[in-house]
Formats: sequence, structure tokens, C-alpha cells
Amino acid sequence: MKRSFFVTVGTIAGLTATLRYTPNNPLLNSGTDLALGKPIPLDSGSSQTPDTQVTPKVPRVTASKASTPTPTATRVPKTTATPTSTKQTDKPKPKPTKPTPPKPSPEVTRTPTTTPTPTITTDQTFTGTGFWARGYGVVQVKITVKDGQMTAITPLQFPTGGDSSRISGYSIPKLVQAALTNQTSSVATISGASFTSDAFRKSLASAMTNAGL
Amino acid sequence: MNSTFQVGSTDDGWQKAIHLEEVWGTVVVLEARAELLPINAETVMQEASAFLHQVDDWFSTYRVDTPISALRMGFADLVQMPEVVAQVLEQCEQIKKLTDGVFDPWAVPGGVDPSGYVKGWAADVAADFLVDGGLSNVNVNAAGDVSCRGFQAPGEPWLVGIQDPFNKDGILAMAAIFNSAIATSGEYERGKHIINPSTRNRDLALISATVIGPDGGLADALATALLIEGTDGARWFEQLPDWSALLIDTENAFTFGPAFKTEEG
Repeated sequence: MKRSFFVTVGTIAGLTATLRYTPNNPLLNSGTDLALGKPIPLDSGSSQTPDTQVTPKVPRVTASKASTPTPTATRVPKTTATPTSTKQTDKPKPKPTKPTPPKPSPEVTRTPTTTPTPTITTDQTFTGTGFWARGYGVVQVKITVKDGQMTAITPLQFPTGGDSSRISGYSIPKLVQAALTNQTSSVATISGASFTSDAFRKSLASAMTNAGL
Repeated sequence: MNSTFQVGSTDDGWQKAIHLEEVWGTVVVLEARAELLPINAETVMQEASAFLHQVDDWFSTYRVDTPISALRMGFADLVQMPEVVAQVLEQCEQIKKLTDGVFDPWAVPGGVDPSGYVKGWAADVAADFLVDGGLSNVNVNAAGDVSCRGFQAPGEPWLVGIQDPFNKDGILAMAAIFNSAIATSGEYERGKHIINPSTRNRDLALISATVIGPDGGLADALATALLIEGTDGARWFEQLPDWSALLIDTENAFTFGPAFKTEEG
């Protein structure tokens, strides 16, 4: 009787331990470099809090490289489409509800990375959800993470056609630089833009959330 | 009239509430953050929004039933204006002097139009209203004119992106704003709508002008004045000790003031 009790307890404990170890855990993925990444404002009340202030459940290891597991094996890209908000075209005056795209649930934000992640490199890429940008099109970015640091931001989708494609070519490098220098997408708001123009920021935030930064 | 209210949380474990208000032909965003938002947060934000509509009732030049329209059309005198309208026009007069006449709401066709001051001023008033209502960490974004109070996260000032005038979805720089206002003026957003009072035509020296300082209405007006005059505006702008500016023309970026001093070296 006693023995079967221990067996049961042991099994449950083991199972719990196994389940708790998820390589997707952002705290594991980014190691100590979390300190560099500023918090990302989440759109919804997500319980994910990869913040340095919060005492992490996982013991922090000093060297980030050592503690970084390769999550490529477990991170299965979902084939979910970008949110339906992208469909709403040609509305000159968006209703206030529209600029806030549907809150991406964890399933939705994990859109597939378009580049097939190669094998041995430590670079990992994470794709943000596409967001609708003010009558122009979908903005979607991909970020590259190396050892817990964002090293590149690549626009996957930027508005094309008319003036916007011309000016995108000019200004994306600046924009990328600004985001990289700050290692953050935590801009709370934007001066000089009407509300709906924060599509880039949202896509970046979702990519960073996917990366666990 | 449309508005939404939603509550979420930040990565710091703070609560955040966002209220969107459709007013003035745009959307004004009111955002509050705190470890624990007061229970009446939504009510306070609704009251602040009611003020924004009140501002429209006073200052809209698109409606004929407002005091400012009556003044513009000659149906009313300045002395008949509500006190707040008179005060705003008085402020505009002061700013006109300060900017050597570059900011001039009286130089536009169709009569006096203080719109270049009102948006930033209203954002300031709304932000202060929210603070008085018990929401100590707030930002109000009135279509690009932003007033910030308190913090965006524990110990962190509000981080406000500055719109890239060449790319609607780009951020040119980020500014940390603490109990101040930031306003960006440019014609990339709304098309040609600014008149150069000295030439009476629409030529502008810059693509975009961003101003950071302690007064939202003044920030709004100074951004427009610098957009018109460009770096020559430094002669009056630099007399304002607490104020900073980021000016963008087709090739260069120019910075003035304490907010942009840290980039040295």
C-alpha cells in the first residue's frame, strides 16, 4: 500500500518536473540577457512576465550561452494565418475599436518563420504577427536573436505600392537601428502619428514575445 | 461618438487601462498605468473624454455652432467668447510674440484658428485631469501631441516614439518623457494644412519638427512654428531653457536643448 503510494507520488512529481521544463520558457531562452531587453507592453493581460524584477521560477545562470537550449526542436511553427484585422481595407476613418487589432492569443502570435531555420547557427528568428497599418497594408517584422540579444530586424511585409514602397526603402534602416539600439519595443505611444500607426511596434512586440525577450 | 476602454497588464506586473475616444475627427488615446489602478479609472477617463468633446464644442472650426466659428464669421466679438476661449487666444497671442510672428493663428484664411495650440493644450489638461482623478501615471495622445505624467513602468519615464516622417510605420527616435509634453508637426500626416505667415504661402523649411517641453499647448505651437521656420527658429527657441527640439529636413536632423544632449561622443 505504502509502496504504491510512493510510486504514485513519484510518478506525479516526475511528470510535473517534466512538464515544467519547457524549452520554450522565455526565462530559459534568454538567460541573463533578459536584463538588456526592456519589457514589452503586452496587449492583453498575458500572464507571461519575463521581467528581471520578478523573481524567476527558474534559477538564473550567469553565462547566457550555457543556459540557452536549442528551442528549434520544440518550437513548432503554427500555420495560423495573420489576424483577420488585416482584411479591413479602405476605411479612411477607422473606428476606435479597429486600430487595436484583435488581441493575439498565444496561438495566433506564433506565426511561422518564413526562413527555414538552418541547423547549427545560434541565430534564431522569430516572426511577429502582421498588423494592419492605417489604410496602407500589413506590417510584419522578423527578428533575429543571438544569445538572447536581438541582432536584426527584418521587415517581412511592409506596405507596397504608391509612395509608401519608395519611402519604406529609405527609412527602414533607421527604424531598425532605433529598435536595436534600445533593445526594446516598449515605446508607449508615438508623437506625430495618429493612433493607428503603431503597427510596426505591435509586430515587433509580438516577435519579441515569441522570442521570449 | 465612439469610445472603447480596456484593461490589461504590462510585463512589470502593472495594470494598464487604455481608453480610445473618437473626437476632433481623430482618435485620442488615454492610457493609465499603475500597480493597482483605482476602481473608478474608467469613469475618470470618461470624464476626461467628455472634456475633449467640450473642447470641440468650443474650438471646432468645422462646426458652425461653436464660439470660435462665431468669432471667425464675425457673429461674435472677443468679449463675448467663453472665458476659456479668450484665455486660449491670449496664449496664442503670447506665442505669436515669442516666435517672432511665425506662429500666427490670425494669418490663416477664414479668420482666427487656434487649432495649432488647442490639441496640445487639451492633451495637457486631460492628462492633469486624470492625475487629479487619482491616475498618477498617464499619457494622453491627441493625434500625435502627447502629454505624459508619472511613469510608464516602475521608475521608468514614459517612452515616446517620434514618428518617422518618411515612413508611416517607422520610428525615428525615442524620447523619455517625464511630466512633460512632446509634439511633432509635419505635413506627412494630414497633407498641406499649414500657412507660412510671412510669405502667406505654404512653403515650409522642414519635413518634421518635434518639440519637448513642460507645456503641451506651447509644444504643439512651437512644433508648427519650427516646421515653418526651420533652424532659423533657434534664435527664439533657444531662449526657452527647458525646451528641446528635433528638426528634420530632407537631408539632416538638427537637435536643440537638454533632451538631446546625451548623444555626445
